[in-house]
Amino acid sequence: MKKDKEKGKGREYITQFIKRVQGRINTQIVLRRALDGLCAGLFLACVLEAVAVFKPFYHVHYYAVGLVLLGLIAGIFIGRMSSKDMRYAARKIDSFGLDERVITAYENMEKEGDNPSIIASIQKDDAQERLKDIAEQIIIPIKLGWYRLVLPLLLCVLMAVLFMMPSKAKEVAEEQHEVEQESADLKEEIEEAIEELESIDQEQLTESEKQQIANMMESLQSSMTEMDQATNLEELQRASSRLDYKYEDISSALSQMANNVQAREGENNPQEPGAPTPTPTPTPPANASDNQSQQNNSQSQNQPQQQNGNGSNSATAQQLSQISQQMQQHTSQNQGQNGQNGQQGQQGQNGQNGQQGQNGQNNQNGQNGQQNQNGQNGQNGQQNQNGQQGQNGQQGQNGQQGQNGQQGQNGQQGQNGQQGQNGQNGQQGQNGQNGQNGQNGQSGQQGQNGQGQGQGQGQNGQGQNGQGQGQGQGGQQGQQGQNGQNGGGGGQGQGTGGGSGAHHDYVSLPNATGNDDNLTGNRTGSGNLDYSRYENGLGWQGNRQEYTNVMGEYSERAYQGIQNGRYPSGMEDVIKQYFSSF
Amino acid sequence: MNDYQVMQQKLLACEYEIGREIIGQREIVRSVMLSILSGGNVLLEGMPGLGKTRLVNTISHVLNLSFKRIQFTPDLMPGDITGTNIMVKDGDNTGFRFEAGPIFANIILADEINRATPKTQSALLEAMQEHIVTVGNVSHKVPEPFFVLATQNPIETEGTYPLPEAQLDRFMFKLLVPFPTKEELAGILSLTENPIQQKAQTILSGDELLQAIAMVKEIQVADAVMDHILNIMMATHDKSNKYIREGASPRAAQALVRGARARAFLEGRYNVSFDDVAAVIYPVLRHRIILSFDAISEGVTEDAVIAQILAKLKEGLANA
Repeated sequence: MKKDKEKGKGREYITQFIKRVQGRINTQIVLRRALDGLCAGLFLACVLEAVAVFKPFYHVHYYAVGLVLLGLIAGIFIGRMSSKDMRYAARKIDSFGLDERVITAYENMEKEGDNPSIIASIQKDDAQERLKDIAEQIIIPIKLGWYRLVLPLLLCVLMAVLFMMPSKAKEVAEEQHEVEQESADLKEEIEEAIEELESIDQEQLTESEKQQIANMMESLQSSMTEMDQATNLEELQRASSRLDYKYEDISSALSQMANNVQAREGENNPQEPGAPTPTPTPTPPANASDNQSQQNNSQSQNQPQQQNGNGSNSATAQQLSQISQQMQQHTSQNQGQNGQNGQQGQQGQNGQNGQQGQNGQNNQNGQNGQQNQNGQNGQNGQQNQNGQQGQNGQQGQNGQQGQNGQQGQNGQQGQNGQQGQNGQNGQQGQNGQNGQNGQNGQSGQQGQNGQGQGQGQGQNGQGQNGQGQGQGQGGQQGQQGQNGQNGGGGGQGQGTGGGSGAHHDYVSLPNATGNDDNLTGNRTGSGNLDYSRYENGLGWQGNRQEYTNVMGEYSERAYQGIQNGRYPSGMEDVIKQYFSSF
Repeated sequence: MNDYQVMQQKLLACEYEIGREIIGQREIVRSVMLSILSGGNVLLEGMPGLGKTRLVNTISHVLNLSFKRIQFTPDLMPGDITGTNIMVKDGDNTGFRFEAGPIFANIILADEINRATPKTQSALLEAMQEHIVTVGNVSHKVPEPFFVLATQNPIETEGTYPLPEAQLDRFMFKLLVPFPTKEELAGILSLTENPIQQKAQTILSGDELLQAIAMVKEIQVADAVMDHILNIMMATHDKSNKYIREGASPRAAQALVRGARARAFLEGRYNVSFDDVAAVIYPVLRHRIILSFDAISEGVTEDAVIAQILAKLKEGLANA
């Protein structure tokens, strides 16, 4: 028994010794391979960083760090895979002058197990004895090699230098990344907007309205393409500006659509006794001209307002109003971002005065409507000025839309609508943009601003027929803003652009202009001018260009001019109002 | 001390005693001892007068073994070695009786073996391998332990009969007896010309030698060492080695293992080490490798080829 115990001890001693040495050997291997892998990873990372100095590669740092980690992990993995077994460790021990005693003893222990032969037992004892004699001398140092320690440090320094090294490519990469991110955000927003438009219950809409919504979605889809194609911040900002216009446009159109829906419901529902009797207006045909249909709409907008005042409401109209508001929010969000970026002068200003910015856009949407008609006029020189009148007429409708936005709040708007017929109100409103602020706000003061908006639109109508109506209605909105408990109603009203925006994406730029000498005819002096053009009109075979591009450039230059002091003092407000009135 | 250690001590004492009569040539003495412990035969090659006969004589004396010396000459007949049946007349009876030749001894010194004809040389083959001598229809066992120590002169090859490969292969070791150094030569002179000559003492008996041989066979060989031996053997058959025409036979591998075991035993160990293998690789392989024309024309010797193989394998061992 005692002998067996001793045998067991001897066996255990040798095995433990071998295991200890094996652990050291494998640790060394893993460390070496890990450092090798780290070096390889660092080298590749340096190469990557060096490439990024010359070629734009925004995520290079992530990839570089990933390569370093990958190299380290791969090194450790390879080290683990190439770890040595106990036989190797036994031979390593034998190399300290044990003349293969340990490996022989180890193999004998493995082969013969607990019943070794005499010679095997003697051999094991001999091995153990000799091993104990020199155990202290058997040191397996973890040698990594100086280059394995120095090289990673050098590569780290190199990588840091490359990391910090400024280069144009890095700036470009950062800009591209920023563009991609913003583009993605905007695309997401557009997708949301499209989904919102898709969610509209179109059962109560006319064919033309359905077509309008389809056009809105198509327009938003085109904006998504623009976002994809934007390669730098400037292009993205332009696309974003155009998108904002579209949002405004859509918002206005939806607001008007909501009014129309409510107006149609009013026709279908019986009126309560004592309530003002609305003038029944037939739903405009889908193929009717824009001016006519919009005017019809403007006339019919008063009726649903009164009905709303009586408490009846349409779910579709509410939905449209809500989506219109959401579109407005998209606009304000984008403008807020633009303001923060401060990259475009106008938008920066708008960003600071977010509500005013919205107003400006709304007005520009109004301009879109006008210019679209101008495009048509471009094909027909004689009706050029009439076309402008038509535009003004649309603005008048826009003003009505503003009223619609507030209809839910105040049923007295019908009376205001009568006031709207007075074209003089149009002259008064020069702070139309501020009036939109009233929409966003809920305070009574904002409501006052709402009045101003209506007037602003009226200015556009000055000197032209049909404008007077629009202004008058705007004034009503303002009053509603004051009266309204939800001053926000004014904001929807500015969906003015919506009424015409879907059709006014482009401006016609004439390729050839005629000579005034060829113009004949007399001015009527009342707003409608009768011109006849001999052969060449003023706008002949015009090219179509994005309205928003043209308008954006013009307004941008104007605001920059104001900032640079290019215009006489005191004229700034006039210029601002001029551009904001569109 | 266990039996193994006792035997190891005795063998070391034998070596010491042989060294008292053989000045220098320690490696030769050690190799001969290894061969005897492995039960192998030795071919000693060297110039005349280097003490070959004296060495064998001393070993037989120390080991207390019977010793016969056969001087090989061209007219030596096989029967002169093995013995023959002679007619014996005993009264009226007449018959044949086997008269044992000089081969019937524990240690045979076949001096200048290459001077005898191949037929006579081959008379040793059966005894060397099987430890049996067949004369007529009767086989006779030679006494155990049985060793053949043959010598041959590397010069004066005229009128000699080089040993055929089959016979060379039966010699476990081929030892090259070098010329002694000046100090060794002085020692030899001092020893041999001194009127009071020291005489080696007998240490072992034949039975004890057989016991030692049995112990040597038990010496452990690790797989790694065995693998190394196999690698050596395969390296001699490496066709890419332009200096080797034919590699060593499997008998060489056996000789390597046995020789390494014997060396480990003499070193006081119970296991074979790589060094043991390296120590016996030259005497085991040098007469078993057949050099190519390239080697002969370039003057490359068998030892150089073996050194090359060993170096290559050592590199592999270090990287393992």
